[in-house]
Formats: sequence, structure tokens, C-alpha cells
Amino acid sequence: MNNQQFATKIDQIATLAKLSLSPKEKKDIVKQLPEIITFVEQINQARTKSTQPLFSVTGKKNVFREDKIEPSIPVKEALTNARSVYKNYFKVDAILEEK
Amino acid sequence: MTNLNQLTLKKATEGIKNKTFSSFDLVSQTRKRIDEIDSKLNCFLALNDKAIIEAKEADSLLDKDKNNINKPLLGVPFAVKDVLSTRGIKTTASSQILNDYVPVFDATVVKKLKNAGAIILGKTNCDAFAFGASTENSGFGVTKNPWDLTRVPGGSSGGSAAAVSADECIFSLGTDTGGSIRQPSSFCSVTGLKPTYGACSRWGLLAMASSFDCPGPIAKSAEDCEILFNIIAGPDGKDATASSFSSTKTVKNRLTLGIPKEYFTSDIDEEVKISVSKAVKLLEKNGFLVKEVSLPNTFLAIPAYYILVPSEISSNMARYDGIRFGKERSNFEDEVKRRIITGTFTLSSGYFDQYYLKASKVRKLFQDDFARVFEKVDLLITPVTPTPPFKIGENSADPVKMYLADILTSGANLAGIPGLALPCGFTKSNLPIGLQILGPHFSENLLFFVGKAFQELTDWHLKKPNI
Repeated sequence: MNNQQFATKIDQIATLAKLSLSPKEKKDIVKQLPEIITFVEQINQARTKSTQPLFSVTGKKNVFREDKIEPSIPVKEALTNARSVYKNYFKVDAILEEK
Repeated sequence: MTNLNQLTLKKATEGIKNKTFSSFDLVSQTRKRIDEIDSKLNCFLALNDKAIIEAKEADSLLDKDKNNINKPLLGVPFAVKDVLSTRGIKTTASSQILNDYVPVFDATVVKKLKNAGAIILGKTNCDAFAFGASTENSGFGVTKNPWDLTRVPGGSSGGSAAAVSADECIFSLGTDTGGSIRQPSSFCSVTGLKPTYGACSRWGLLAMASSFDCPGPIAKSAEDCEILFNIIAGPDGKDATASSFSSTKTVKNRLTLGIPKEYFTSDIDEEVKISVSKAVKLLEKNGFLVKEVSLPNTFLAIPAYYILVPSEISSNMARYDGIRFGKERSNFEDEVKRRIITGTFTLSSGYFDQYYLKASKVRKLFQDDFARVFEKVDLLITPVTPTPPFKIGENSADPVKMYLADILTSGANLAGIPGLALPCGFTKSNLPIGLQILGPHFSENLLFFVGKAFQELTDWHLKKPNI
């Protein structure tokens, strides 16, 4: 990818990640991301044809517990850090527009 | 006479129990120390204003029942890295996005220490969300190294390590995702344990990379770390990856220590190599067997780490939506944005196989390398860091250079194995050097055995910075 392609790609990624980048931040990342990617591509030197990926380092798989109700944080407390509250709910911006 | 705030955990608990001094005395002296020197160091972001009251409560509890055996840490003050949730005490993860966040619950490891009677002094600075190796990525300013105020304390748990080093607390909690307990412990000349992955619950730890993150203790000796580990380890029903801890290793008569040649290359500072080699010789002279071994994939640790970790980060950071808690995403610090972008890139459509999947296979190679080596030796001895503490600003413009600070520690996180960092010397200019002991999964008892043996033979861990 050339720099222009990287810049376009970074715009797409920033949208996906819900980040708004200032022109300075974008300039820095357009420079740094290719450097980081080139660096991490060293992993291509590893031979992994017959290697299974490792996701769980201690080999744990599913862990189950009994399905019963336990004490939890009271609603009032759970809402104490919310930006905006309506009755016992977090208030969020509308995501669907009316026609 | 030693000031109370300089005591080890062992001595502090004994003193309180035997009523040589009170918890009130201990907590007051520690608070005084913070008031006197923390403006120079910037270790603490928030203080627990109830600490003195809690100390008085501990003293009256002891008056009622002198043999209060259920509270082994009664009245001892400690510091908590700001990525661990503390009920009623501001928890920012050192990021401006959480500058007004007050959790309504305690992280499990914090709760276990509180249940054991320990008293929170305050919250310590780190790189924002623990992304970094110097505390320079903090949204609240850098922490200074107590041994040289122009240098970084390491990171990400830099505030926790510097606070122990400067005797602003008796011990602290840190977290280790790629070296974040061990590297600052080494830079500040204190002892720190990265436990086996899953040995301690991650509940209440503000997630960075969930398959890597490990909370653990930073203290003034290996013995203290052992006491703390035995209290904070074990499952809590809230973290599915937390294991019932049972140490499977027995301490044999003559343990064999492996020296991986890839950890002593020309990239490693000469003074660091000399100090660590001297430590190995000392252990050999005192009954340990020493054997050179090879971990051939070591050079791939950081490249694999910087695919897997940002990938997990980009997913974990999605929770910061500014709705339920915290501010808007524009408040993220530069390195946080950088890692979210990198991780979103490596996980994005068309790149997943090339980066995340491939790196997960390299992760398996790492684990296989360690497993193979641990068939031949019981433990590994290595340096903790490639260099002594670096200058503030020295690496901050070059992310890749900064990432390499974790080159000798991140392998343990890729494989999920435990590591203990402890002081083993100083450079000619009086900068700390650390020794790392690595072992197989759930071999913490062996790490403590060797760590304690080393600290009986040496007094590096007793040296104090002049501040």
C-alpha cells in the first residue's frame, strides 16, 4: 500500500472504530502505521504450516456455573456514572431515524 | 531507626500484630511520606481520604481480638494501579476519558486484599489503559524514577513500582500484559510478580488484552510477593479464565536453571548482561545447576505481541462509549488511538488470516518452545529489560523503539507462564538492573524459592533511592 492508500484505509478504520482523528493525529498515524505493520510482518519468517493457533494459554475451554440469580449492583448505583438517565435507564442517542 | 513506611510487608504485619506500632502510626507515616515527596515523583493520582479512619478501625479490631487470624494483612497500607477498580475511589486508567469515573465495585484482587485487612492508600499512575512501557502515555503526566528523576520508572505499572521503591506504600498492585509489572519493578529496583495467566481473577481490571492481562503484586522482597500472591490468587466465579490454583511443582533438591542464549545477545546492554551473569554464578555457587538453553523464536515475541494485543485492545475499547460511564472517545490519548487503529486494521476484513491468525500460530510456537525447554530445566534466568531505565522523552517519538522495551518480558505473556523480577545490581551511574525468573504454568512456588534464596545471598533489594 502506498501512503495515499494507507490514508484512505485509516479513514475507513477510524470510522469502524468510532474515532475522530485530528489532522495532526491522522498525519502521525499515516506515518506510523506502515512502520508498525512492516515491523510486525516479521512474523512471516515463522514456519506455521502445521501449527494450530493458540487462543487459550492454559488450555481452558468452556466454564459453566449454575444458572441462578446472585446479588448484583443495585440499579441506582449502576447508573451513577451515566451521562444521562431516564427513570431507571441509560439514555442514549437515537440510532434509527423516523421517516 | 527505620521509618515505618520503609518496612517490608512481613515486618509491617508482625509489628502491628505484636503492637510494636499501630496501623495508625504506619498509615500516618506513609501518608506523610507521600505528602513530602510525591510532588517530585507523581506516583499517585488519587488518595483514599478514609485511610486514617480505616487504620484506626484496624487498631480497634486488634484491641478486641489480638489473634485475629482471618486478617493476615490487617492495617497495612498499599497502593493500587489505576486500571484496577476501587469502590468509591476514582479510577481513571490514567486516561482523560475516565477522569471522573468512580467505580461502584472493587476488583477481585483489591477486594481480597481488603478482606485480608489491608488499607488502600491511593491509586497510582500508569500509561493510559496500561498501553506503554514508561508512564509517558499517561493522561496525567509522567511518573519520575526515584533513582534518577530525569528517567522513566518503566511501565505500564510505573507509579506502583516507583511508590514501592520510594517507600510511599508497603506494597502495591500492578498488572502485566507484556511486562508491565516486571519491567517497572526492574527499573525501580523492587520485586514484582507476573502470575501464571488465570492464577488471579481479572474481574474489575479495566481490560487491555484479555488473553494476556494478569494482575499481580509489587513489593520489597520475594517473600512479600509470595504472601500477597497466596492471598490474591484463585477463582472468584466472575472470570471464566481464572483457575483453581494448585501448584504442581515440587521443590527438588537441586533445581536446574536454564540460561536462554537469545536473551543475552549483543542488543542487550553490557552492564545488564554482566550483573545478570554474576547473579547466575552466585546461584550456581550455592547449589543450583545451570544449563544453557535456546528459545529460537524469541525475536518474534514483540512482532506477534503487537498484532495480538492491539487486536484484543480494539475490541475491548469498544465499551468506552461515553454513555454508561466516562467521556467521549475523542478524549483517548494518542497511544490508545494508535493501538485501536492498529488492532482494527489487523482484524479488518481481508487481513485477519494474514495478521491475527498467523500471530496466534506464532503464539503456539512460543508456548511449544517454553514447554520443550522446561523438559530440560526447571526455571529460566534472564535479564528483565534490555537496558537500564531510559530518559524521559528518549523513546516517546518512536513507537516501535518503545515497544522493544518489552522484548525480554512479553514471551511469558504469549505463553501464559509466570515471571518474577527482582533487583540484581546497579550500573556505574547507579541505575537499577533486574533479574527475571521464568517458570512453567503454576510454578510460582519455585520462582519464590529461587527469589528468596537469591535475596538471602544478596542485599540489592534492600538498597533505597536517595530522594
